[in-house]
Amino acid sequence: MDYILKTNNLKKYYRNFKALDGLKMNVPKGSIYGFIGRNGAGKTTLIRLVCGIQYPTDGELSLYGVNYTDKKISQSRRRIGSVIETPALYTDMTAAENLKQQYRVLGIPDFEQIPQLLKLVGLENTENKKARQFSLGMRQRLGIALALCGDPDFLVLDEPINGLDPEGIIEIRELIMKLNREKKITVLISSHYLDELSKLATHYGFISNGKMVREMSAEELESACRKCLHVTVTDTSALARVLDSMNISYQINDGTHADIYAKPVITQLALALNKENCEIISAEEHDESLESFYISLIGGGDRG
Amino acid sequence: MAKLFNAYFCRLSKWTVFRILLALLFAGGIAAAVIMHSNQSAWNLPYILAYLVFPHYVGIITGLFNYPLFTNGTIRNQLSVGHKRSHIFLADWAVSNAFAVALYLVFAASFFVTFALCSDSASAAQNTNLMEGMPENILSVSAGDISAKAIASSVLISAVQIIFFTTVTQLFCIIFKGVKSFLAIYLGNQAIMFSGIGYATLAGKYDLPEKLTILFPTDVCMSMSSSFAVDSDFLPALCAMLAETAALFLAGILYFRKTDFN
Repeated sequence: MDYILKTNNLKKYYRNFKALDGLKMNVPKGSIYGFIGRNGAGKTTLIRLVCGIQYPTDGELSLYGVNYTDKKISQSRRRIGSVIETPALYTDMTAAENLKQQYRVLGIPDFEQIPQLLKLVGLENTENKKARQFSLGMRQRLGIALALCGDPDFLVLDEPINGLDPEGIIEIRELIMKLNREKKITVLISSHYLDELSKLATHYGFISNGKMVREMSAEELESACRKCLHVTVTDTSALARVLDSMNISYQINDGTHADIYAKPVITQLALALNKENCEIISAEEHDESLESFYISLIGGGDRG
Repeated sequence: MAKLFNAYFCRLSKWTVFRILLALLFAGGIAAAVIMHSNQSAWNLPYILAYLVFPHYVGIITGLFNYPLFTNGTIRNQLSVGHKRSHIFLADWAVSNAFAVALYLVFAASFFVTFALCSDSASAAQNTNLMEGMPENILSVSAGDISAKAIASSVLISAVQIIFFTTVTQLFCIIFKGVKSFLAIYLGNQAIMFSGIGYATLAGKYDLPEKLTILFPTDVCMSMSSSFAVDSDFLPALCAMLAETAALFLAGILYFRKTDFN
């Protein structure tokens, strides 16, 4: 698998505070990578390091296979568009002027795409309105438009839906999915809104106290969070035969444990298993939401 | 780096504050010349403005230009697309200085041109000692006494002083990265100004080497006469200011390349 961004044992210390403490992370090409963690977990720090705003204390960070210490990292960064925390705008300029300024920074003399960009983020009717008069949501949209200047193929978005109304959240979500689907843009997106992330992310990274707790694909997460009956039996091969005959989907975890993705009538199941000389030792319902999965991963009480 | 220069200069040329300041300083230069011409006791007005007030407070104005870079975080838009930090620093320094020096040159040009025009039409009203007790060079100067060389020298040393203080401003902006910069610029510039005055005072009192005053930009300008004539200290003073500016520039670029931004 090709990775746009790879980090290994990445560290960033602010005096005695370890913002990142040996982070290992891999963002696959073409993915929408949801970066999840509580406040102060290290999400924004990582994004600052990726974008070259700050330097790592130690460890490896490579973009498109180029290490951050390499001189060619500048060329790799030219392929990135980013919104870090609050959008960086010239508040005395209009939306179009801000985009023109970013085009100049990128060395693009042609401003033809600006109306399209403004339309894409829903700011086409702002005309002479200065950015200082924009609402938080409008600023976020303009920040995303700025990030899209120069057709980047890797978009880094730090809490992009903060301050947006529900309609705005849907629009930004659809925009990100559209960019990923149609332009094959890889997206790294950090957010507190787990439910929102679960609607668009293809991969996840859970970070806590500067360390990656777990990386997983959307399929793996869905499987982990799927409603099921977690059973312990004496013989899972017998259980498999019975569940197949009952046309119920399941997953065998080991010789005695299995997850059943339905609600079978327990009496019928017990009788059928009895005929196969298999006993149910225990059965518990497993109904984990993304939030509870996240809490179970990072630990609920340890807020740093 | 040409991209950054283009972006910075475009922003400056379209910046409303810059246009307003240009107009104000243009008008200010004319007003200073007219006031000075009609009232010779006001001879020291343009002198104070050009040498003492403007260079010190231009820092705050250039701070306004640098403000969005750090407070609004627009510097992130440049760093994150791969521009080298040294290039960003250089472009910002060059444009900040162009901004500050342009303001001064507009003031100086409008002042000298207006003064020359006024003097040509009313040369008979010149050269009278109006106030006793004032230094000779303050009161006995007419437009005819101000040579082109003196004007060029005074403009040059003022411009270098402005570049020095603009470089100080940029350094403060980078170190403090935000609103605190304005206070730091003001206090820093005041400290530089008063350290010069303090040294001059102490030099007289404790027999300290007077030559060292050339290390203080303010002292150099204060020692120049209001006829804008320059003395033998001009070149060493100019070199000292350039060397100090270069040292600040190097310190700034080294710090900028290593520092973390938010």
